[in-house]
Formats: sequence, structure tokens, C-alpha cells
Amino acid sequence: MHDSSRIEVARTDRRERLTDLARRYGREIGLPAVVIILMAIFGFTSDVFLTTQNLRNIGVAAAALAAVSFGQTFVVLTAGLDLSVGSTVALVSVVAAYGIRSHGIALGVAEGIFAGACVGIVNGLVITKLNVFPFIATLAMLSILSGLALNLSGGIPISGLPDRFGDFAYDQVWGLPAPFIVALVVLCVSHLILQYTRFGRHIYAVGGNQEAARLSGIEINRVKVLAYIFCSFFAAVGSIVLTARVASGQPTLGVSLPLESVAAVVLGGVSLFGGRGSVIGVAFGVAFVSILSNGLNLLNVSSYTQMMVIGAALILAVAMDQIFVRRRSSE
Amino acid sequence: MEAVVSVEDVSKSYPGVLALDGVSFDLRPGEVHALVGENGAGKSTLIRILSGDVQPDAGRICARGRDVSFNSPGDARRSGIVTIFQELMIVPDMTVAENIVLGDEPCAGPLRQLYSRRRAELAASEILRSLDQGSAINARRIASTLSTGQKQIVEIARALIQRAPVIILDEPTAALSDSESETLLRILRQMRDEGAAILFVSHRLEEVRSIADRVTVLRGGRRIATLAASEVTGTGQLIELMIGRPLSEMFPPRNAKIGETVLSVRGASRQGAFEDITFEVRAGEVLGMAGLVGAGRTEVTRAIFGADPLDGGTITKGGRTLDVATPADAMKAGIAYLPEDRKTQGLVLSLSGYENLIMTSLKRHSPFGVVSWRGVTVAAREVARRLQFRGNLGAAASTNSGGNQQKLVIGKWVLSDADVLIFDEPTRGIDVAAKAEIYRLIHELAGAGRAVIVVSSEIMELVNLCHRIVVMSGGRIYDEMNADEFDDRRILDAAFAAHVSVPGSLSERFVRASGHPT
Amino acid sequence: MRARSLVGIGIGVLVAVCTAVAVVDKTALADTKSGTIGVSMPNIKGPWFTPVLFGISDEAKKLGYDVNIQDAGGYANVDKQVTQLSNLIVQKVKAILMDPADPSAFNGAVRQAKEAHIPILGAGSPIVASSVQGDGAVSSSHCNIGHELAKGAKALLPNGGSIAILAGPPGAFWASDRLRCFKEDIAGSTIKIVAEQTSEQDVAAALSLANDYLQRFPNLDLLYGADDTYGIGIARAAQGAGKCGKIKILFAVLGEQAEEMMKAGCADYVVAQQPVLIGRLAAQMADELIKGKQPSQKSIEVPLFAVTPANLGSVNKTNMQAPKGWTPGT
Repeated sequence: MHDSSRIEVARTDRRERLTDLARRYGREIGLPAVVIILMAIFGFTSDVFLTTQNLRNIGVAAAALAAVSFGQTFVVLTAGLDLSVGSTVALVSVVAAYGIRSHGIALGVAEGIFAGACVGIVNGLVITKLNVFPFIATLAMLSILSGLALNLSGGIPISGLPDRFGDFAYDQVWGLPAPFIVALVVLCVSHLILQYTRFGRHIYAVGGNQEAARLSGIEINRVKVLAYIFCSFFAAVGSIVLTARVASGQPTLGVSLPLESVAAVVLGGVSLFGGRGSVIGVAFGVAFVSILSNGLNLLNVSSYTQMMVIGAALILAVAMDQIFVRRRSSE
Repeated sequence: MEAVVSVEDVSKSYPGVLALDGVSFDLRPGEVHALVGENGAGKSTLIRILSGDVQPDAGRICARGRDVSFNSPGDARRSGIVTIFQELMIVPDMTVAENIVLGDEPCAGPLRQLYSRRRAELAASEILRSLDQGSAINARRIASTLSTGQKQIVEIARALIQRAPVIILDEPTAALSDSESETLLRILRQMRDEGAAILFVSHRLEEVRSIADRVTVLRGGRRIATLAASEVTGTGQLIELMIGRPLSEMFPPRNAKIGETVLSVRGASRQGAFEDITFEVRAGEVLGMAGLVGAGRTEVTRAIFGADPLDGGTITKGGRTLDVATPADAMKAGIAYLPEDRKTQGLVLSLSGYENLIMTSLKRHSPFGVVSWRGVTVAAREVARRLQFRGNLGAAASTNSGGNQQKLVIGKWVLSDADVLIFDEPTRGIDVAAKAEIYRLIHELAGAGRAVIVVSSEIMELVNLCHRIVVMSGGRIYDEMNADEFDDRRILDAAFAAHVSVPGSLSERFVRASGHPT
Repeated sequence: MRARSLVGIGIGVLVAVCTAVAVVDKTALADTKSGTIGVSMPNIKGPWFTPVLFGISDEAKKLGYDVNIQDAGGYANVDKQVTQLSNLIVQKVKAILMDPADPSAFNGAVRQAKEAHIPILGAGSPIVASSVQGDGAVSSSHCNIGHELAKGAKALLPNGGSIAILAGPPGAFWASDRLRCFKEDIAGSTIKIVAEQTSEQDVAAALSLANDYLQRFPNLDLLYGADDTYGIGIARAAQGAGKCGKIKILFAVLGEQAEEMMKAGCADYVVAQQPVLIGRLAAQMADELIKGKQPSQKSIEVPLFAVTPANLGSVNKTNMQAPKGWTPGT
């Protein structure tokens, strides 16, 4: 009897392994392939696309979005959402600028990042202790933080920062732009945390099946709050990069980041229902968005049309996500 | 012997219902203690209290001689109590290994934070091997690809890996095949011999008899009796204790008025699921579909209902060939389907009982597109009465017990006026009294001239309920028999036919385990 | 299988769209002229930017250049404008004309332009970055505009009075410079500022703010608008409240709508710039630099003049406004 059932199960096992593989990696192979195709198209139709200078530009322009998107991944994996990332970037920009002006670059940057982490704590507590839906909570925070940033700065940009700070955005390390290196570091750290630590496993568990996680003794509230802290922390890093790029504290920085980061995350294969996806995919999502806008820019497509294209790509990505999710639950 | 866990005078009430009323109960090391009772008797509540999920309104809990109070499932775990619930607590996108070590991941490195995938997989493989599943379930597989039975085994592995002194299992074998149940019971016996205290809630009374050292019966939130294994004279005795009165007849007599063929399936196939399926059902007839888990019965019924596509073959109803591409088509053609997994596929748990009941017959109650709630209420109440529904129709469906939820699903299809009803595992996870009511209902439906197809893994159920039985194995039909030909042995042989030939002694073990009432 | 084919179709559609767009746009840019001049503006809509862009485009066309206009979509999108500037540099345009949303943000980018030997000029702005020099600039000094506005205020209120200020978009240095010099001039006079606020560069927002002022200060004598977007908002508010002629309205830049308001009696004193002329001169300077010639004047200041209902009819508007219906897209 054991033999027979084992055989039948073994047969199903082999069949399932293949679909397993396809489902696990199909999506993950799809996006990098599209990115490469896109680069090929742009390289062909625009003679300046594949120059080193342009690729560096893409790296710099994408760096802030990358940091923010990697942070957003933490939260989306727990089946949450952080719409306040844009305003967090603005607030951190203002705080850091003041800090840099008064206390020097190192301390100023630290102050900015600390402010970012605090935003994460507030977000996390509002969502777990007050039981407000992430969508609503972070939407409200978007407004609060934006007003705070404008208040602190008096509505005007904060200039007078030391040149050294602004130059950082144009520095190069081993031929790669410094902001790009920062984004790479954030990528590595995120990947490490999510895949190789206990906390990372808990994030996937909470997002994949919150009840199962809770009943296995995982403190879900603690996991969620930490996820929001990481999100805002990395958003703060992105903000520092952006602030250096514009060499001033801007209270209106990052307005388009909530949409773009969620787009990058979803395009990168992270499910909005939580528990599935990786930052490597998100990196390709960021690459897709950045390469698309840069390429279209070089081809003189108006920024309005670009908005349409990015929006359409996002719908497509979410539709694909739905297909995969529905497929799975019908088993 | 000293109890390792005990509760004293524990009470718990929810809005409108007193779930537990002064229950005292203890669990000793080195025993398998079964907990039985009807729907709503309080078993689940007691389990949730012991597992730290809810707190009692009154009473004490003692663990290892000291009074304890559990504020979270983590507390109970730390006190050495591990619980496996009826609902599958699997994280679908994680691997089997990650699911097994969930909450207690093996770590290394600085601050003990670096998750050691290797160690997790090693530990997981070891546990799976001890459960005799080492070759069947690979520790690296993604959990969502496993069958329901395999998922349950993974959960059990998760509990086992804790090596906790107290293990609580809530209906663990409900979704397992007979072979998987056999394996589980073997493991439990092994752990009991090693000194663990096991609390085992189950509706399968035969199983309870075969493994329990003591049996506690709950009824209406109170503990009625605790019997040692030697004191149990039969499942009949247990049933009587559970429902408080003798249950003279589980199965009503079969309907005699059989009419014309209503549904005819010819040569149906679907790649990877089933092949060359041919059978027919007549009005007033109950047709049973027997077979092992994975034989393809559910796939066939889903295809008839249009939930999955057919690659080949025809379905004919009332003389006309049907083209069912979607469930909506099937419903229009008068086919109803009661799915295996009532919670995710049969009910909208957040809607009320009323709304679930009339879901399929909404058209009738909404002339011009506006729903007539009076009509709905009347029809729903009537059906609920017939089904002896014992819940609150106005409350969300999720608040009802398993049996009552199943009645909602049945009621929904009864109201839909379908003339072919397909029931897939209708009494799984449902207590004895509710089962009897469902059998009665099936015969009522047959008596009213409808055709009923019942898919079930309990041979006893099919043999007593159906007019004819069709046996599937490995995606094909291997045997078909009428009521006068019913024979357990013959059914089992056909069920295994697609696999390596089986020595006679093994099918004997099956007959014993399949739960004949004595 | 269904899911995978859908994915494939989706990707295919996206790729096709991109290629189509690319091909279409490429053909639109026939590359037969002497090269492209890049233009980077914080905004391209509105009565200030449109005539500047007209001046640039028209003159560039005459000189045989193509024009690549980049729109950052608002003063708030500083980072976007920096990125757009970098893109222009990568495309190796022949020269860049720009108006920086915030000069301190562009030091690095302007340095990149110089390294790439692309002449970079301010068009409508005296500077391109806070600590890096551009190769030239054509503008009207914002401070001068402020002085002229002060002159206007004194002319309109010879006996002093109270004024409320619509200061411009938050953080825009052109607006704050004007206001600063305006205040310097009226300090010590009998003209008092009772209220001052920044707001979005949007007629509706300006109208709303002006209404607020009218409500709070029923005896207000004059309303100041940083440029004509604000001026039109003020004029409409006054019109709606029936206060045209009773309250004085003062602002800078004479666009089409501003003209209409003045004709309707709802604008009293406008310090007109000559944005079309600014655009033309900037394009000419770029041409000289491209051809390697040193421009006669590195920083050109284009004169302003005051327009009142009295001289409205006789003013030469070709240097102030673009032809009716012209948009930067053409």
C-alpha cells in the first residue's frame, strides 16, 4: 500500500516540479528579458542611448527610486503598502539640509536618516496599534509629512549647502556613479535581510499567511512595524541621494515616488497580496521604469506620453499578477 | 499519574452562545486523549483556550503543576503546548522546510539572526522521513504545490519538530487519505510511547477507538464523561453520549422511485486529470463515486460543472448535448455542485447565512433586478428549517460551525432548483448527528426526483447511501456496481487498480480502518 | 499555459508600442539642419514661458537649428529638470538655453555641460547655477522688475495706502527677488504691506487667494501680483467682487489675458517684459557661441516698460507675446 501511494505521489511530484519551476521563475525571467529587449530597441533607434555617459545618467536617475522601491518591497511583502514614501523623502530632504547646514555633512545626513526611521515607527504603530488599513494610514501620513516638510522649510528650498555634498551626486567610484553604488548597497542589504535572516523569513510568513505565522508564535505586529521602519529608512537613503543631486533641501521632492515605487515593486514580481517576490525582481522593475523613461526622453517622446506608458505597464503587470494568484488558489 | 496540563472550571462565552460551561479536564503524559462531541459542543473553544489563541472568561489552566495564563499562541508554545488546527496553516509561497521551521527557524551567525537554510532543510527532511514521507515530499518544494493531505502532513511535521510535551490536534485526519491517516496514527502512538501527552479531536469514531487511551465527551459546552479505552463498548455508546439520545438510524432507506436518465457522460477526458469517463445518472438516483485521494473524481465533477475545461467527450442532459464552459452554463443547465472545500469554494464567509443561501437563486427573488428581501428571508428560513440549520442566519457565515456551514452550502443548491446535484465529500469534518441529517436530505432530494452524485472517501458512507457506485482509479473508471453488488473488498480492489498490485492483507487493514459502525 | 501566453502578448504589445512611438518620433525630427539647440525650462505653459519659447524657436528656425524643448512640469520638479538637462547633454546638443527652477541645484549638471563643451546660457534668467558660471545670459533683472513695480505702486497710490501681496510660487527666486527689491523701494513710504503669501503658479489658486484678501481687508487699496498669472487671478477676483477701478491692480508681464483685463479696466499698471525678445536674443547668442564667436555682451539685460491703460494702445507687442494660438509643440 505504501508503494502504490508513493508511486502515485511521486508521479505527481515530478509533474509538479516542472510547473513549480515555471511558476517560480517564469515571471522572474520575463522581466529581465523585457529590459534587455527594451535596451536593444532604444540602442537601435537612438544613437546616444548606449553611451557610457547616458548609462551613467540612468544609474544616477534610478538610484533614488531604487532605494525607495527596495524599502517599499519590505512593506508590500507583508501585504501592506506605504504611500507616504514621497513625503518622507521631502521631509528627510528638509531635515538633512538643515542638519548639514548647521552640523556638517555627516551629522546632517544622520539626522535626516533618523527622521526617516521615525516616520517608519509612526506608520508601523498607527497600522498595528490603531488598526488603520495601511492604504489609509500611509495616505494620511503623506499629507501630514508633506505639510510638515513645507512648514519646517517655510515653503522654500534650503540652499547654502557645502559644495562637497552636491558633488557627491556626480562622484564616481570605479567608473560607476556614486548614487548607483549606494543603490547597489541598499539592494545587497535588503536581499541579505529578506533571504538570509530570521526576520526576513518572518516577513514572508506574515505576508504569505498571517494566521499561520501568528499561530506559530511569530509576533506579527513587531514584524510589521519593523518592515515599515526599513521602508522609511531606505526612503531616507534615497532622499539623501536626491537631495545631493539637487544640492538643496526641497520640501516638494519625491512627489511621483509612491506611484513609481509601487510600479517598480509590482513589475518586479512582488505580489500585492504579500508573501511572494524578491528585491532582485524589483531591481529589474526599477531598471524597466528608468530605462523606459530615459529612452523615451531621448526619442523626444513627451513626458505626458511617458506617463501613459508607465501607467499602462503597471496595469499589465498587476493583471499578470492576478492570473498567477488565481491560478494558485484554484489548486 | 500527574497531569501535565489541566483546566479547571473553565468557561467561555461568545455573543449569544455559551461555548464552554465550567469544564474541567486533564491531560496526562504518555496518553492519547480523544475529545469528541457534536457541532458546537465546545471542542474548538477548548482547543483555542489551550493553544493560547483565546482566553477563558473564568477558570484556571495549569501546566506542569503551575497556574498559567496564555496571552498569545507564543506563550502556549513556550509552555510546551503545540497545536495543529483544522484550517490549514501553511504559508503557500514558502518551501516545505520553511513551513516546518516556521516560528522557530534555526539560526546562526551574529546575534543569531542569520537564517540557516541548510539546517532547516536537514531538520525538515529528517522529520519527513520519520513520517515516512521523505521520498514523497521534498523539503525544497513550494508548499502551494502540495495536495491538501500533504499540506496537513507538513503542519504535523511542524508540530513534531518542536518535540513538545503536549500536542493538540484538531481533526488532523479529516483531509488525509487512509494511508496518510494510518501513518499519522502510527507516529502518534510512537510519541505517546515516548511520553508525550496528545489531545486528539476527531469525528472519526473508529479512529478514536483505535488510538485513544481515554475519551472525553463534550456536549453543550459541558464535559459529560471521560472514559478509559477499556470502558468504551462501541461507537454507538459514544454517539449516544455525544447527542444525548440514541440515534436509531443513521441512514434512511434508499429512494425507490427511479426515473429516466437525466445526465449522461461519454468518453470525457481532460489531459493530466482523467480519461475516457463514461457513466450516467437517473432521476431519483444517488450515484456514488469511490476511489483514493487523487483518483480524479473531483476533477471529473468539476469538469461537469464547468469549473474546468474538458479536452474531449460529451455531456448530455435531458437528451441535449451540453456545452458547459463555465459554471454559469452548468447552473443554467440545472447542474449544482457542492465543492470539497466548502470554506473557500462554497461560501462567502463574510456574507450572512441568508445571502449565501439565496446566492444561486437570486434571479427568482429579484424581479426587475431589485432583490425582494422578504421573499429571500422566507425561502431561506424554509430551507434552513428543512436542513435543521442550527446557527444564526443573519450572522456572517463564518460564525457557524462546520456542519452548519455545510448545511448553508447544501441549502444554497437546494434552493437553486437544479435537477442534478453533485456533492463532493459532503460530510467531511462534520459530526455524527449532522451527518445523519445530511444523509436524510440527500434522500429527500432523490425522493423529489433529482439526480444526486456523491463523491466520498468513506466507503461505508457510499455503501449505505447510494443506489450505484462507480470506482475511479488513476483517472479512469475501473468498476461500476449496483446496490446488490456492493462489496467493500471489490471497491477497494478497483480503487487500487491503477497502481502496483496489492497484497490482500493490506486491503483488509483498510476495511477495518474505514469505520464501520459496530 | 494561458497565463504564459498572456504574458507574452503583453510584452509584445509594450515592445510594439515603444518601437512605433520611437519610429514615429524619429521621423518627425529630420536631422538635416545645422544641429539642435536644447531648451530646459521648469514649465512651458503660461504667459511667461510661452513667448520666451516662441522667441527661441522662431529665431532658431531662422538660423537653421532644431529645437528640443524639455518641460519639467513645475517648479517643484527640480530633480526632473536636472535629469532632463543631463539628457540634453548626452544627446550632444549644440547649445543649451535654460531657466533653472532653483540655481543651487544645477551646479553639477552645468559643470557636465562645460566638460562636454556645450555652451550653456540663461534664457529669462541671469544665472544658470549658483556657483558655476554659464556662458552667457539674456534676461531682465528681476530686481529691476521689483523697482519698476515699486514705481508703479507709488504712481498708483500717491498718498500711500495698504497693499496685499501675491508673492509668487514658493521657492521661486525670480519672484522673491522682485519682491525683495520692491520692498526695498517702498520702505519708509506711506505704502504699507498688510498681507503677503506665496501660492501655486495657477490662476485659480491666485483668484482664491485674492478673494481671501478682499474679504479680510475691505478697505484694501492695491493688490500686487508677482507675474501675470497672479495678476489675472487678482483681476478676476476684483471683477467678481465688482471692485475693478476701486482697487488698484499691479503686476508684471503683459500676456494676452492681461491685456484683456486691462482693457476691461481691471488692471492698472503692468511692468511689461519682452519675453519674445529675450528668447530671440538668447537664440542669437547661442548661435554665436556655437560658431565659436565671442558674443559682444555676455549678459544682456532686456529693458522693461510700464504699461497702463493710457499707453496700452500704442505699445509694441511683438516682443511681448507669441502669435495667437502658438504652442510649444508646433
